[in-house]
Amino acid sequence: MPTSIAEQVRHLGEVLDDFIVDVNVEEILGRVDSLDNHPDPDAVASEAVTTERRGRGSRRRTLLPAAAVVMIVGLVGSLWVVSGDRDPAPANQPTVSPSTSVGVPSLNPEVLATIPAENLVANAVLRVGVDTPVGRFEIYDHPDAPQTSLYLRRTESVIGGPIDNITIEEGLAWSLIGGEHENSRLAFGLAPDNADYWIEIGGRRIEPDTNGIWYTTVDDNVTSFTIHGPHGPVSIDANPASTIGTTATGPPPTTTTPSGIESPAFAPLVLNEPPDGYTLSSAGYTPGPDSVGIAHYSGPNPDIQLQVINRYGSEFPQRMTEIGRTFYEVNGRIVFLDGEGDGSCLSDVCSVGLQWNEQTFTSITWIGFEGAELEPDMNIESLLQLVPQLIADPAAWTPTGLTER
Amino acid sequence: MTETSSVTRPLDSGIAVADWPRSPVLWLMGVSQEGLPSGEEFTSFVRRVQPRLQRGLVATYGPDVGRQATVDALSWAWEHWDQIRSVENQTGYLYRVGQSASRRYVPKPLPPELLGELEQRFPDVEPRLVPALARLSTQQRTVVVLVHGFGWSQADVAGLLELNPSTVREHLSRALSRLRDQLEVANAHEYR
Repeated sequence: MPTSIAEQVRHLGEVLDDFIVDVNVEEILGRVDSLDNHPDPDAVASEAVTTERRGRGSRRRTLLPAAAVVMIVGLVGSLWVVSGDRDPAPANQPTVSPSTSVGVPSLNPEVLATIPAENLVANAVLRVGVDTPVGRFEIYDHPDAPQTSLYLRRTESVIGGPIDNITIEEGLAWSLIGGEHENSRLAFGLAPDNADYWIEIGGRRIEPDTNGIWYTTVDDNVTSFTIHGPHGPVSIDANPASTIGTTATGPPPTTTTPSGIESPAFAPLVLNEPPDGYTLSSAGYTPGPDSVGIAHYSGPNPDIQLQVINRYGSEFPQRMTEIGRTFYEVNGRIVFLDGEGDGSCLSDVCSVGLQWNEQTFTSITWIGFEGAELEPDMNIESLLQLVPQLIADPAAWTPTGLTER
Repeated sequence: MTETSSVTRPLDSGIAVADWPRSPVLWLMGVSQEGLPSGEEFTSFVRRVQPRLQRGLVATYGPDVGRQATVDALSWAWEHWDQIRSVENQTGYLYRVGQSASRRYVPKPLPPELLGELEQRFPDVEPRLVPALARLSTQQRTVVVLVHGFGWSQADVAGLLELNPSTVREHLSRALSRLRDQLEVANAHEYR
């Protein structure tokens, strides 16, 4: 008799519990010590988190600096499990999403040139590399995990990521990226071994090579294609609009800019007109499933910044409402106090936030560094007045490492 | 523009900004510092808060990132002792701090050893269960793992996540429904 799902989760919990290693006080305080021991943010990149101490009395954390991307790229995956796992959609299911929807950081050419291929994927073995007109495809095996990585290395970027083997065996390991040519995109994927497998797209039949790799351009007027795999034909939604993603549940979709660099999943919001004396100094985001972007505005005091923090998600108003946060209406948008503590302004941070669209929630935040205290006019009202200035401007953003300053 | 509600509870804003005005080294040496707990006080606090906090974060982020986020959250508690000691729901508050901290870590898959042990000890567990759990929303996954995996009551989960119990119930219901769909389990298999 099959076991109920609740029972199966209980079994998983039992095993999971055995893998929980309790923390202790020394370790907790050691985390504080580690700041002093690793003044260089890159020095702790291998721990997948970088922490930098800036002068006594303050700290800042740096997320995924560019130089660290090399070291963590092989670790990128979905929360909990192998990334790229996806529904084994039945043949009559109309649409499915890309298998590599969990993104891998793209690398700039300078960084890319320094990376030995084997370092792209941690604990993985290069099975084969195939040069094609669209770039070099590389397949990696993971001896210690039921997954396979497929990467497309191009002049300007590396695209792809790990895919669970079940997805591959079911014939559903594919990805669709934009910007291949002016009016087309690029679809590619990995076929299962020993299967009668082909892709029907725009009236053409695409078959994988002997390594299982297939790729093809997809004109922008093509709205779907069909994978003929082990479970029969599966229709894939290739509508350009839908590849941007319309749902905010699960990992955000991966899209690419015309240069092949992965775009953020959220709307790239900046301020059309920042406050007097403030200018946009940088706007960077981390690609991938937990994509976060911060636009930094600098002003007269170098230790005080105005930031626009964009994140992916749709439940912001619900969360704010559930915890009873103060909210205002500004130009028809509901804006919440979303700062630390109870949401009211602290001496060094003051923040409001709103749900911009289905995929994006954003915060506008005054923030003081190095112990700097905010000026009296850096208050909630000043932030609310900036809400009408929010606009989406993709050109302002770069997929660099994320810094808080 | 009019204020239409008032607030009283904490929230993770995604912003990790903190001062480090105190020395853990001096603290470990027993040097008294203003605003810091005594050694006994903090140790007792960790013993009380850590188990539920860590399981909550593990349910959300897995054992590796969940553990790191726990250490970060408790580290934050140490340096913000004056603040955390006045919070009523300390575990729930620190769970949000841990959520914020987790953004600094690259998500990791469940360790292969864990999956191997699961398969060995419980061969009846459907191999697609873990991938299916990963496809749930974060809150759905957290709720279903805490309730069915770790045996928490729905009220306890509501306390940790600072949600209404009815919301937790809804998350649980939807999570099980989605798992059933993904694992193609017949409706005859009961909810718990």
